[in-house]
This record gives sequence, C-alpha cells and structure tokens, in this order.
Amino acid sequence: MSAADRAGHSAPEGNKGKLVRPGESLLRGVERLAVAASGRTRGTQQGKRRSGALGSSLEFADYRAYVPGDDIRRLDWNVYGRTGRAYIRQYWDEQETDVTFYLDVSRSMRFEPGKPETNPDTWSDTNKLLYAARIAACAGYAALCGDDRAAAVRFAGSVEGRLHPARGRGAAHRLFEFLEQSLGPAADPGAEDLRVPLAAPGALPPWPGVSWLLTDGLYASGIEETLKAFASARQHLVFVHVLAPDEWRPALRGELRLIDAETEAAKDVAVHENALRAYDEALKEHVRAIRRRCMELGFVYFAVDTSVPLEETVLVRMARHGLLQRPR
Amino acid sequence: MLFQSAASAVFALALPAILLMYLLRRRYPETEIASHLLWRRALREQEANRPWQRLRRTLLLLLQLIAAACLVFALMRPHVMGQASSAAPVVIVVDRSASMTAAASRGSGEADALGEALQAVAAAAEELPSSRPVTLIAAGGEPELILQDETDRRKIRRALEAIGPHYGRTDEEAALTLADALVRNKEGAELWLATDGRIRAGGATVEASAIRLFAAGRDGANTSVAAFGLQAGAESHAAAVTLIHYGARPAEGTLALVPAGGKAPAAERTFRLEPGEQRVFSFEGLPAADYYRADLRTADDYAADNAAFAFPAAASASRVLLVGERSLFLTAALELAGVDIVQADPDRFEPDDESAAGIDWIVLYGADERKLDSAAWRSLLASRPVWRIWTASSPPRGGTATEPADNRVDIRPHPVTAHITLADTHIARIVQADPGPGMEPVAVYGGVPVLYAGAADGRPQLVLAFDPADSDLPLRPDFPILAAQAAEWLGGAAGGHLGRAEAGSRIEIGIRSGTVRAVWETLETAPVRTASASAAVEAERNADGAVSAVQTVPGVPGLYRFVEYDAADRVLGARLLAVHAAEAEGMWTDEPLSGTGLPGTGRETGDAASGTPDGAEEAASGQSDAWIDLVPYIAVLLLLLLAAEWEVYRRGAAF
Repeated sequence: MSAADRAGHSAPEGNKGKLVRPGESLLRGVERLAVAASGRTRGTQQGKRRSGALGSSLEFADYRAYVPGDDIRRLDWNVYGRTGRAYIRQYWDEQETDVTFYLDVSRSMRFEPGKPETNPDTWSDTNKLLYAARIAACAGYAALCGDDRAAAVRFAGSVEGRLHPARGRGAAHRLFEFLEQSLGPAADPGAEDLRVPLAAPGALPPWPGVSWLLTDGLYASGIEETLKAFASARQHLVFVHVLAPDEWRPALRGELRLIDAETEAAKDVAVHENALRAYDEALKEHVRAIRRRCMELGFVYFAVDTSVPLEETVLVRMARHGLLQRPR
Repeated sequence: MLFQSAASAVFALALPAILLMYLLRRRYPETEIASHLLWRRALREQEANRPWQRLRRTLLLLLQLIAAACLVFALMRPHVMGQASSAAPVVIVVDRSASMTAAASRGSGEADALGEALQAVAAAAEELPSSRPVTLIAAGGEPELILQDETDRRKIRRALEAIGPHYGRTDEEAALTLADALVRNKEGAELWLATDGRIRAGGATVEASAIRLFAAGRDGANTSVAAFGLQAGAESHAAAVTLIHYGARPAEGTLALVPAGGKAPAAERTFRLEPGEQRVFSFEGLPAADYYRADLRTADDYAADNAAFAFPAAASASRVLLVGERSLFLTAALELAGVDIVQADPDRFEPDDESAAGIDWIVLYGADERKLDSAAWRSLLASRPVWRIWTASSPPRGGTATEPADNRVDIRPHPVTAHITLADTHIARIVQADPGPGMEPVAVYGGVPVLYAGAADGRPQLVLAFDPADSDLPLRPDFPILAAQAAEWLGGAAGGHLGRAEAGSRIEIGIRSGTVRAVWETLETAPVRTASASAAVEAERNADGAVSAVQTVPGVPGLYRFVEYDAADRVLGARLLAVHAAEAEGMWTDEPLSGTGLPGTGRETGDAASGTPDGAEEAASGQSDAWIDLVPYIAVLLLLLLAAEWEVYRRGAAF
C-alpha cells in the first residue's frame, strides 16, 4: 500500500501531485486558515479577500487632514459635522504576503530504512521528505487561499529548483506539482553545512515575507548563520524541524555499524542504555540550540514528528502554535 | 623445565583457531541511518577515546591468545626446578664412621672430614626456609636419631656441632634405611648425606625426592698397622708388626715400638711401602714391658689406625682343679697344655677361700655334682670357668647314655674346636642331658652333640658329653689339642688380659668373684683428635646392680685397663684391652660410594680431589631442588587475564 492510497490524499489530476496533495477534507480544513505573518508586511498588491472578512479586514489606523485629491469616501463625516474640519480616515492597508517554502530534499530527508530513496511511491507516511512536502502543500494551499503569494524552493547541496511566487487558489496545483517533483531524485546528496545551499546568492527571497524552512536540521554547522541570513533578508522564518520517530527515539540495539545515508561513512557503535541516553541528550541539545536561536531572532520553531498524523500536525498543532490561524 | 604431558602441546592448535575466529569474526550488522550527526555528538567521548578503541580489539585478541597459551601450557603440566618452599622434611644423615676423622684433604692436617662435612651441612641448613623441619640421624653401630622434625636452627647447629666420630663398626645402611623411611612418600622431602663416600650401604635403596651428598675427605692415603703381636720370652720380647699401605703413592715413614709408659721408642724401623703393599716387620730383643705401642710416624690422613697396642700373653700358667676320677690321659693332656693340676676328691675335699684363691678354672670329670652341694662348692663352681666331662657311669641329672647312630662329625667354629676334626674317632657312648642355659653344641657326633660351649655369668663353660674312656679319642692327636685349647679358652678368661676389641663393640668379660665395682682406665689412646680425656669410666652394671659380664668397649681406639675392686676397694685384678677402630674404616678404597645404591656412585676420585679445595664439596646432583608444579601459578595468571579481559571489554562497552 503506497502512501498515496492512504486516507487524506488523492490524486484528482492523474498522477500530478498524487503524493503531496492533501485530501479533500484536509484541504477544506486548511482553506479556512491563513498563514500567520508577524507584523505588517507590505506587498506590492492589495489583498483580495472578500465576503464576511471584508469589514473586519479594514483596520482603522489614524486620521489625517484632508488634502485635495483624497478620496472623499474616506472623509469622516462625523468628525466634519462636529468640528467643521475635514479629516481623512486612514486604514491599514492589508496587502498580500509572500510565503516561501524552503524544502530540504537532501538524502537524509529522503532516508527511510529499507526503502529506496529514488522511489517515493514506496515511502511510508513517516518519510520526512514526504511529510515535509505535505506540510508545505497544506500551508501553501492556505496561503494561496488567503490571497498570499506562495513560492517554493527545494535544496539539497544547492538550490535545486524554484517555484516562483504564485497567487490564487488556482495556482495550488502548480505548487503541488512542484512539491511532487521535489520527491524525485536530487542531484546531490546534501551538505554538512546549511549555508552551502542557502547562503548562496539569490537563494533567499529579495523582499520581505514569510519563509518556512522544512528540514530535518541534521547539519553539522551553518544553521545559526542561515537563520541570521533569513533575518537579514527580512524574512519571518518558521523553522519546521521534521524528524522521523526513529530519530526522536532510536530503536537501535547491539553492536552496529551505522552508515550515514549522505556521506556513506561507516561507524561502529555499541548501542546500549548509556549510548541511547547520550543520543537523547545530544538531540535535545541540538533542538535547544536551534530553538534558542529562533527565539532570539523572533522566529518560530516547530518540531514535527512524522509519526503524528498529518491532520493533527496541520490542523491542531500548527494552529495551536499560531502558524496557521483563522483570519479575523 | 619439565613437561609431564608434552603431548598436550597439540592443544596449541587452539591459538590459530582463535586468530581465525577474530579474522573471520562476524562483522557488525550494517544499519543505515539518516545521519551520523547526532550519534557523533552522542559518542563524542568515545570519539575522544579513538586510539583506545582501535587498540581494544587487538588487546582483546592478545589477551585471549595469552589466556589460550596459558591453558595449553598448563595442560602440558609444566614443572620448574626451584627451592621448594613447602614444609617438606629434610633428613640429614651424618656418616660419623672412623674414616671421617681423616684429614679433609691431603696434607691439610687441620680440619677433619667430619668437621668439614658438618660445617657444610650446617651452612646448608641455615639456608633452609624455617618452615622445613630437620631430622638429624647419626650413623653408628645403631643409627641414632638425634633430632626429629626440628625447626629451631640453633638447636640444629648445636646438635651438629656435638656429633663426634664413631670408631666402631658403623652401619650406614641402617641409618639410610631409617632416613629413607622418614622421607619416603613425602612430597619434596630431601635426604642429605654427609659422608666421605666410604660407606657400605649396598642394600639401602633410597627413594627420596632429593638427595644431597656432602662428600668430604676423599683424598689422601692411609698406612695402617694391620696386626701387632708380642711374644714374651724369658728375658726379652719379640714382636711382629704388619703394615698395610692404602693409597695411590708410595708411603715412607718410621715404625716405632714404644714400651709401656715410655716416651722413647725401644726399637725403630724406617719403611717404604708401595701402594697396596703389606709387610711384616719383626723385632727381637725388646726389653720386657707390660705392653708395647706400635707407633706409625708417617704422613697419612687417617690417624686412628696409626697406633696399635700389644701385650704379652699371660706368662703365668693357669691352675686347674680337677675334680673326679683320676684320668691318666686327661692329666697328661692338661699337663702338656702347661696347666698346673690340683687333684681333688669331692668326697674328701671341701674348698675354702685359701685353696680356692689359687684355682683359675675347674674340671669336673664325671663327678656327680649332686655331691658338690655345699655352699663352698657352689660358690667356687659359680665363680670359675668349668669344664664338665660327663661319663656314662655317673651321668648328670636326667642324663641318658646313647650310642651314636653313625660316625659323621659336625664341628662348628669355636676357639675350642679350632684344630679338631674328630675324624676316625670312635665314640661308644654319649651322654645326652641338658647342658644348661647359654650352652651351644659346637661338635656333633652321629647326630648327638658331644661338645657344648657357652658362658655363665661371663665365665666360659665347656661340656664334653662323653667319657674319653668310652672312645678312642685319647689315642688321637685331637685330644691334647682339645685339652690345650680348652685350657687356653677357660683359663684365659680367668687370668691374663682381655685382648683386642673393636671400639664400641660389646665383649664378654669374666668378672672375678667378689667384684663390687669395676672401671675402665685409659692408659693410652691412639693419636686421634677426639681422644676422650676422661681417665676412668665406670663399668656397666646389669639390672641387679652387679658389674655386668657384658661390657661396651670404650669408643676411642687406645689401650684400656679393666680394673675390678672388691667391697673393701681392693684391686682384684686388672686386665688390658687394646681397642682398635673398625678395620674396614682404614681400608682406603679408590672409589668412594662404590657398592652403594646412591647417586654419585662411580664418581671419579680425581674429580673430587681437583674440585673444591676444602674437600667439603657439595656433590649435590640436579636433584637438590624440587620440581615445582606451575599449574597453580598459571591458574592465578589466567584469573588475572580474565579480569584484564573483562576490564578491556567493559571500557570498550562504556557506550
């Protein structure tokens, strides 16, 4: 049974996006959510939200004196009636936000014990890359539905592909297709340093926006610098730390020769209680370091266990963390 | 190094097997994981320990190989030579025979072999671990157990210092047999034998785990006075001295005859003896003296036989009391033997002190002893040697006369039967009766004893069980010889001297009646270093307090006088005894230890002579040490290896 056949996912347009596209019920749930963006970011175009959200979307900001040429619809007649002076009511202009999804497609993300990394059809639901791609699909769909622009970048040792910002619900299939393609074989296995792919020129968005970095964070170095680079690029970053249950809680026992999926280096380890305790400690320290850095930069850190059902992660946990929220 | 089970070396094949197992050992199962990153951080400590990790497998293999090698080694039952630290007993046998008094080496003239050997033994005993008990046996006429299982080193040293030579016959075999019984079946027990090698222990089969020989005094030569006879003439004495030389080189020296009490020799003769030569030197016209000493002045190592003493045979004729019928043949034969005869009729003669005093011995010729019932007769018969001649006409109590079945004669060796054959002698009737205690038949005719000899209270007794008149013996030449030899044997015991005896032996002495006390007086001793200084030694007494008829001869060669005293402390008589060392001790053999079943047999004397100059060479063979079983040590080593292996494994498995 392939991952595509499982509940919550379907393939309405043939094979395109069949693995990544969320199921209808999930789509409906995501539809009503918007990608949170910290602060007021200004886009180039006005947002196009309609229906019941119209009144509340026009948030009052300030008054200013009328100058000729102003739209008289914005004159505050009440103030004029009381004071005889013309004031223009100013509203926060709600504009679209660019949401860029950075999807780590390195070999460690694809890795699943006993499964060929080149054949995503055989992957299970707990595969990190598949899971990360599905989160990106959900969040991207929410962004597109919320009149935000969604872009996507996949990287391993370098940036391997890019989906330019798209708008509107209609662009969802392109996003899904791009994510589906990302599951395919990567050109290179990945880097030890996260700066190698992401600190390259042009890797980060040129204008302010929201970035989601979906990665397993298994980089020996460069994570902090990369986070700083995102901050420098005026991005509000959501660090989605995707780890498989085997990585949160290794089930290894005995004397093993561990092979690194990326470097293919071998390492003899006698796995004991002590070793597992030390691993747990190392993992916690790793997570703590990333989270602390995120907090310092005002970013959001979000740890994901791929054994948790996607619906729960997206609809419950992400909402609770304020990553996806209902528009006011 | 000794392997009791060398064939177990086959198990060494296990070593390559272990090596092979390491080479072909199961690889770690390969497990692919996403990244090493976290593991690397988790195992940072292990990473820091990387050289140890690399070493660990090699170390484990090495330890296992050593352990396997140890096991194989242990299976081969290894033993090494070493000082057994156990409490195994050490039995020291000291040969203190007379030959040990010889100088330790040629011309050293200082210490004797016994002293050297004892010093060597004492030094070796000092080096023994104090846990080992020491048993000390001195070989003598009877082996003497001086110390048994003694661990006090001072006591051992004192006991060793107290050991002196024994000049009598030494029974080394008995000492060795005793020592063997003490060390047999005892693990690590050692038998030390301090000897000059001149021992006779052919029958002793010693099976000790270790035998050490402290050989001493093998070198040198010995010239010995083998015999010294003195013939008393009317005015002067004649003497004959026989010398024997043992040794590899000719001996030269002076033979001097020194009269009693004198310092200057009465006669002197230089001699030169070839190795092994025996020569008789005759001297005539020596001035009369109580005794003579033959003094050998030569450079030899063994002094105990360099002097011999001789005294003239008793000059005065003995007096016999002939009780019973008058017999012409017997009287003639006794007179021929130079005996003064006093004829007595038992019916009319009653002996008194005065008449008894001159009587040396008594012949009862057919006299019925029941008639000699008076106290005077009983006292006289009990205090004199008696020759009883039984006759068929008046047989003794319970006696019956029988006719011998044939004329086959069986003569047993005895001074009285020395030159008697009884050949062609016809005896018509023989009286058979109980001769009394202590009497042995020395001549048997036709199956019936005809002559008994023995002793009662140290006085010789003789019984002729037939009447010479009932035979043709008086017509034979045997008869005067028998009478003369009987007179000499019976009369000699009463008067004269005690003759020659070997040191330490036991001799029978006819004690004079009325003797209350007797002493051995030392007149002269042979020129030996350990001469006894005591001038007089009380004679032995028997259980009821009387002076014993069996006396032990003084232990040091020399001339002694046995003096008897009566109740009033008057001297009853004084008899001389020449004491000589055991003759075998002076016979220098070329090959020490020959004729013994001990290791070192057949060792060349020359080797020993050129060995250590003090002559107290330790001739210990390779068996002086014990084989120590290594298996317990290997077991301990294996346990340590196991601990080390576990420690290595534990450290490696820390993560």
